Amino acid sequence: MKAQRKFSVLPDLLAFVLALLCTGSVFAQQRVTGKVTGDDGGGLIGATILVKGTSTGAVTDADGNYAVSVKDGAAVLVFSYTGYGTKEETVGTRSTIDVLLAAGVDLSQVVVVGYGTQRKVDLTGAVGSVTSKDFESKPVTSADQILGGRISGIHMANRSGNPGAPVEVRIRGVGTAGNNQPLWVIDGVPMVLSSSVTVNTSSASEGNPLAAINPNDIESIDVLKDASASAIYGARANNGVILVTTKRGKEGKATLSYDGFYGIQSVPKNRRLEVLNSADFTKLQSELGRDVSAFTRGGDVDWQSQVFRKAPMNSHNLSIGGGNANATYSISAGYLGQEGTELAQDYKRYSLRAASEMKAGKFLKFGESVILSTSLRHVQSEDGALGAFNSAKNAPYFQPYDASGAYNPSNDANRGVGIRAINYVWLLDRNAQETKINHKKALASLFGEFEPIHNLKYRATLGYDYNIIEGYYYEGALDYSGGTTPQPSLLVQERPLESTLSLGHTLSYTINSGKHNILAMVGYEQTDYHLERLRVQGTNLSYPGIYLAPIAGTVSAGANADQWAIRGILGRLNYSYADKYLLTVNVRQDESSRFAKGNRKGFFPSFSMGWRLGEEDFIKKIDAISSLKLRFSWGETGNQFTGTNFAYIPSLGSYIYYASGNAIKPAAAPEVLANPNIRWETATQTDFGIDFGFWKDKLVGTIDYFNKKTKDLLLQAPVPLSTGFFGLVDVNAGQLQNKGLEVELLYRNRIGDWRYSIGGNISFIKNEFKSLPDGVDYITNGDGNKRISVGESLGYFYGFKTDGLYKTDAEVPTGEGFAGAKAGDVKFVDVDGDGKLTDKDRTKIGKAIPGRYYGANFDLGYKNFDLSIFLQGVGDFQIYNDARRQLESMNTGENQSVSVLNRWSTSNTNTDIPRAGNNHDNNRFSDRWIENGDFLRIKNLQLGYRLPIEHITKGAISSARVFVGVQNLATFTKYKGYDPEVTRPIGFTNGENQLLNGIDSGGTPQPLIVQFGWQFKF
Amino acid sequence: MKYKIQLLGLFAVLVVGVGIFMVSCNDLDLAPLDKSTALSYYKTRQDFDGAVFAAYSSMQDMWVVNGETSRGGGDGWGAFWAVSLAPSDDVQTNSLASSNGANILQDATNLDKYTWNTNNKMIYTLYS
Repeated sequence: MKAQRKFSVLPDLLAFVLALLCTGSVFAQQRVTGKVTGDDGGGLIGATILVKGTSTGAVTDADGNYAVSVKDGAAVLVFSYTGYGTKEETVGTRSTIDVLLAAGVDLSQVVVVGYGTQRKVDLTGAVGSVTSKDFESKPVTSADQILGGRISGIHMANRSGNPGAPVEVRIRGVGTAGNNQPLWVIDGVPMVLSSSVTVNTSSASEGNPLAAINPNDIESIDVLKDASASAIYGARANNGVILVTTKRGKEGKATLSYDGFYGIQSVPKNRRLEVLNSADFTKLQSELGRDVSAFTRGGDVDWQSQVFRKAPMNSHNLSIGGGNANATYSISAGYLGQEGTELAQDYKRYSLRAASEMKAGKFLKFGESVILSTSLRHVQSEDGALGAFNSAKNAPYFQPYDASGAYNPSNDANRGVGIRAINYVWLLDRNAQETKINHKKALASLFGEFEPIHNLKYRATLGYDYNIIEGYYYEGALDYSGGTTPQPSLLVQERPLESTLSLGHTLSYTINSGKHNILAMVGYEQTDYHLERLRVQGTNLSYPGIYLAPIAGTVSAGANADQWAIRGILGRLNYSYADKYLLTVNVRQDESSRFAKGNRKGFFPSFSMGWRLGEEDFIKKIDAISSLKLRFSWGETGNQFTGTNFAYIPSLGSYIYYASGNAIKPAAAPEVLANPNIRWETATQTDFGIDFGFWKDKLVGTIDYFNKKTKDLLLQAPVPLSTGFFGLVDVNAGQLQNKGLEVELLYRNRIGDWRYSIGGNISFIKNEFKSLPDGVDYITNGDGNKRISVGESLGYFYGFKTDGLYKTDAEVPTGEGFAGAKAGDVKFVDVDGDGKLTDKDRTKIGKAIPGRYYGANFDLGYKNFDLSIFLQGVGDFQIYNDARRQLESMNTGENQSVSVLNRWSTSNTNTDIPRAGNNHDNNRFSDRWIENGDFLRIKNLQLGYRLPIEHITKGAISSARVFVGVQNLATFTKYKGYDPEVTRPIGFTNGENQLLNGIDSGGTPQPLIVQFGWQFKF
Repeated sequence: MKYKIQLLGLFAVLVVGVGIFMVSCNDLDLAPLDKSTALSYYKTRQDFDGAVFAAYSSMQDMWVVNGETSRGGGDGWGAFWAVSLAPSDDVQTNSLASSNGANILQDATNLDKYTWNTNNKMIYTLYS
């Protein structure tokens, strides 16, 4: 029996807290108190008071009161509050300073853009932002989960509720048939998110590379949506760019903060699948010719309850930051422990981060950010994958344990001949099978900045991302049928080592001359990627408890490796006249090793213009309008990740065999026809936008219309077998269009002690494939049930249409394809009307890409209380419910959904469930299994209370808040599966595949999480 | 003076910008790390013979996917082996094939007898 680690590092963290507290120091200084009020006379809770030139400060309490210490009377206090202006007051000899802040436009708000920052009011591109305030107390476990429903144009979907599972993020739709993940840039370092381990053939072991980064270390996320904003990242920007900025220290004394939460996750019974009891199962099996009545004596087992469980989750984060005018620092440590709601799933992450910035003399500045993390993830092993769903198909009388308490074997004596009963409790026991993945990550970025003359700034950045992923898949020497011939023990060990080195230089110069403001920037950036993956498989393990595959009776090994490099030169010009007329021009030229020399270079230009209409006199006269800006942008971006690396070189496969005489011999021969013309996918995007604010920015909003056309889309085209190649060849031949509308609105106000805000965003996107390679009418997957064709959404569902059931035998046509059909069978539609039921009658029956997604948040505060509700929704898409197909097939020995109780019979003809047995191939791929996937989810509900202990503790605790919350409280949907948040099925193909998306194989649903949390600042 | 400094700054931006255009650091002439390529592998007559023979290996097998014949191996759950040695007079057939609507048996018999025509789904699949 292997020892199980407990989910607790609290003692270590507390020791760390104490150690850090000991390093703090307190100075006797002049104390200033006062009250901050809004223009309605009410106290502003949460207003910030900063001692200018330092990071010393305070935050107002529920009544707007504050207390802050300053060095002397020369200190200047800066008062600010979101949605209000800022105000400065010199302390002088005063010990009490009351301040009134007027609601208005916040001109100081800055967002991160590619290779720099920009005032939000000066933006001419489409950029969406979230800050740590939006997610800091929510149970998000990776950076990508933050984005769902928060920013218009962004669609986020978890692949599964399995902790650490991949998350898919789409910016302005699906723009390629391949990988649609946007480029993530963390502290200026472009990331390569390809880390994955596939120690068993099930894609359940795929992980989320971003999960290695603690979301609590993130200060802000800025999403570059249009080409104008993202073109500066050139050949990697087609899917949009996400800029992550981690937390930095601020000037002032050391500030320590500690926050955490404890939660319980579950999949409530009303969210599970309802299946037949023993009596109904026995009756159905009897209709199918199996008599299992002798097996039902042991009582019914709720097999889903055997696999689902209540799973604890806890998170602890500790950070300390501070500094002075010459140097700042920030150090943090985090822990996340999350068990899965199904057996054999869990995730643990330990993370450390350190960041500092320091000035050296008058001209030089240096800084670094280092993130270290190690995570351990368990997933269900190959035979036990989709454990909860697959266990639902077990015969309900099959018992998990025998009379002695041992695991019950699966054999005919226990379940009946032809009946499905697999002991998933046994399979998911780690002593029987175990799949675990340990991911160690080191991400470092260093920068140096040289400003020899005012406004001329040179910056060099070095980034290094190193990942070691160790995956293990273990199978014990067991015989699950209870026999005496156990399978040989097995250990698969896989270790990819992945490194990405990035180097960048930028030189910028700013001119502020009268009404003219110019920023010119040029730069160079290069990235080198390297991967080595070693895989060893040991069978008949000498020491099963030791996870070293080479120590085994039979050992086999494999390896693969990859590398690519890219470099680019870039430039930007920002020009504004009178703070009203704005122009931005970006250019980038990239060269990539992924293409042949002649196709290596790509040029990506963009420009955008803005008119701050709100600054014109004729608009200023309108009191209701506080800000108004029109934007237009155009630009081109590229995608270098087109298909297989080195697709332009005829690489040789060594496993091709040929017949020579009577012998079969291996030969080195090209597997796939190389295409030396392979090149970038290029997207051209146009964007019209309006940013506005009314009533002193109490109501703010943004509307964007965009049209994004991707050409040279990489597709796999067939070649005649007579060429000697049987693989598909990569060609740049497709065109795809995404166009849509995005709307964001936020209204915030205060009434006395009440404060509230209501915000929301919605995006409408139409995805349409525009062209295919010459001579190709469509591209399909192996099963032929998903297609790419012109005029349709990428990867739409393709199958038979149905029209209820045949009521009588006489209704059944006599043509080809109808033989064997009888009353009670599914009536498939003869779409082409030729009197036959053939493959030609298959047609479009749904689409997997959503046409609409939205989010809404409501925040309410009263004195020390705060309440927030966050909703997320997706619409205009369909799901192929393969899980329901399996549970309504009625032609196997598997347990079925209770819906089959309504199956057709001579006494029950008014139904849409066919007769038992897969007669007339009733279960074929058809719209029977296509369901509306629209859903609205109460993603998060949280009630918080700010403890009034600042005065009690005499400032030792500057703020304290406790909260209770519920994640995934309710989902409103007509979908009949576990969860409509479906991306793709668990199967044997890894990575993204638009020809698999939208198929629900019964993966772990998003759990209900009830959490209690706390936040302290010292 | 102020304008001189501004001009100096712009000049510096231009100089470095042009310099960056002319400098290249990392190597872009990379090759696959885990595969040989046809550009460098073939040296002996045996190597070339193997390559030529192997080119025909892909024509040996036919698969059935969703009732349709397919070439070069199956993809997905629905695929299974149907026939092998297709372009020969010694066609081997999987008896399961005919039960999946692909008329494999008849097509295979025709292949075996060298009565090839474009109505034969396997011939159509192989050569289109």
